[in-house]
Amino acid sequence: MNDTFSPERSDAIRTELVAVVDRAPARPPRRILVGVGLVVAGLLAGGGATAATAGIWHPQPFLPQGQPVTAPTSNLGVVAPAGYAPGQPIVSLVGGVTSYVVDGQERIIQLAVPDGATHLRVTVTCTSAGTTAWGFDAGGNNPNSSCGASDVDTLSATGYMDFDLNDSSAYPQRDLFYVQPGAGVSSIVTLQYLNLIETAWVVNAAGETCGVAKAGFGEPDLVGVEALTPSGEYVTAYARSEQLAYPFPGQTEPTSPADALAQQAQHQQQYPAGIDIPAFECDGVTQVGVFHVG
Amino acid sequence: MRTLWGVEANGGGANLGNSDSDIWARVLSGEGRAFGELWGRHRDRVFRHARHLLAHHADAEDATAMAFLELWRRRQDARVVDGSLLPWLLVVTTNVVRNASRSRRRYRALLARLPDPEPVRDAGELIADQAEARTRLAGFTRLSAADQQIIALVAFDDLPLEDAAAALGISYGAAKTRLSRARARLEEHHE
Repeated sequence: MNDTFSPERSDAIRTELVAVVDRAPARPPRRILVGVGLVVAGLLAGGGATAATAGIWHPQPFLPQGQPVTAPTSNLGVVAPAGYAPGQPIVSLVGGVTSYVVDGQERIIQLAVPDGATHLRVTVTCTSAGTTAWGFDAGGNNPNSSCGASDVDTLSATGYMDFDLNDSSAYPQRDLFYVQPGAGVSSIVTLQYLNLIETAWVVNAAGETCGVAKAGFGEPDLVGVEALTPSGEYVTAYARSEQLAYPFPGQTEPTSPADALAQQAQHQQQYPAGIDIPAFECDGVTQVGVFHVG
Repeated sequence: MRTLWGVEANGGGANLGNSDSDIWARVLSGEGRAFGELWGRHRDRVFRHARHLLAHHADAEDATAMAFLELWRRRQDARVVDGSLLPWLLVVTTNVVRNASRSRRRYRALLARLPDPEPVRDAGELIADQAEARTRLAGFTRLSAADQQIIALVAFDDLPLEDAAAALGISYGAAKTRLSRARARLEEHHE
């Protein structure tokens, strides 16, 4: 069996690969722009953290509750430059990326924050059911994530959170990072340093905010989606947050998990092909297409 | 018991300044040349992996190229396992081979631009290659996608089970169970 790669083809492929990266726009893939506020119930929920209603971008950001983490408290930030949706942070990697397998035992990871890093992104993928706490508090007062057995081996098993390294009140000790799994709980933890610049949502003439969800802060009134235009093209547009959350006529907030399942079954029966909701420009008035739900 | 893991200033426990993590960060920041470095670093291992799964030399070369393109396309999902992208690349390669038709459609423009594969000089060698592949892959292609992945990584490519587990996003225990099950099924198919 000939196991040598043809040098000529290898050189050609290398050239193509280099060009693919060089040609790519200087922004994350388009999916990051899509914050649709769907498909969130039950994702990594439980314990002190719930998955954000941030949309279909994988992995999902966590929204820890009642824990010492920082989050934007107002719609602050620079004006989103071309190629970024309002509210979408401008993220640059600083240094490398490292993954650790955590298997039942507490791990303490020694950090050395490189120059220029503003945040530490921690991505956790559950590889077994259970709860894992992770953060800067040696005593365990940290955000945590939980997975059910059905989450393991699915996209729901992964989530991330960005720790603001400049917030000395929240993280006075930032040289050690603690991963504290429950008994027998395993996960894969990835650390990467970021330089993260917040961008602000646009506020339109009606006072509505427009953009994509900000982790830890919430959603704007008009949420970025990839909408289908009448000519069959997909464009970035904005759907009303409330309609994304409750797209079906008469739909209300479920009062219990059983109610949520009953509503879901009813909607699948009444709208087997799903439903289209209007998508607008940031003004909330000019409709440019529809966003399909279901 | 607590385990202390060191992370160097540039963010990688196994980081020597030129690790996959460093290079990958440069790729993600838009430096095409860095992707070329990754190609040079992992091309041969990925190609050998593809060669295990495919009878034709040229198909394995194409699959290697497509695996790197998939790495870029799915860059938000890529996993660096203990400082290396190789386990993830091998997972992607198996997927590319399993979904060869779809992958070829996706990258047909690039594949069309590549130089033609070297002509087969010896038809006897080609027939022998195909016969060997049939023997090697007997039963393998009848396994589930999950079983194929674990067999391809551990049995074909000698990847440590812990790395394979991390690349697949499953626990070590789950990987061990899956490997045992896959081997049993493979033996069943051989009988």
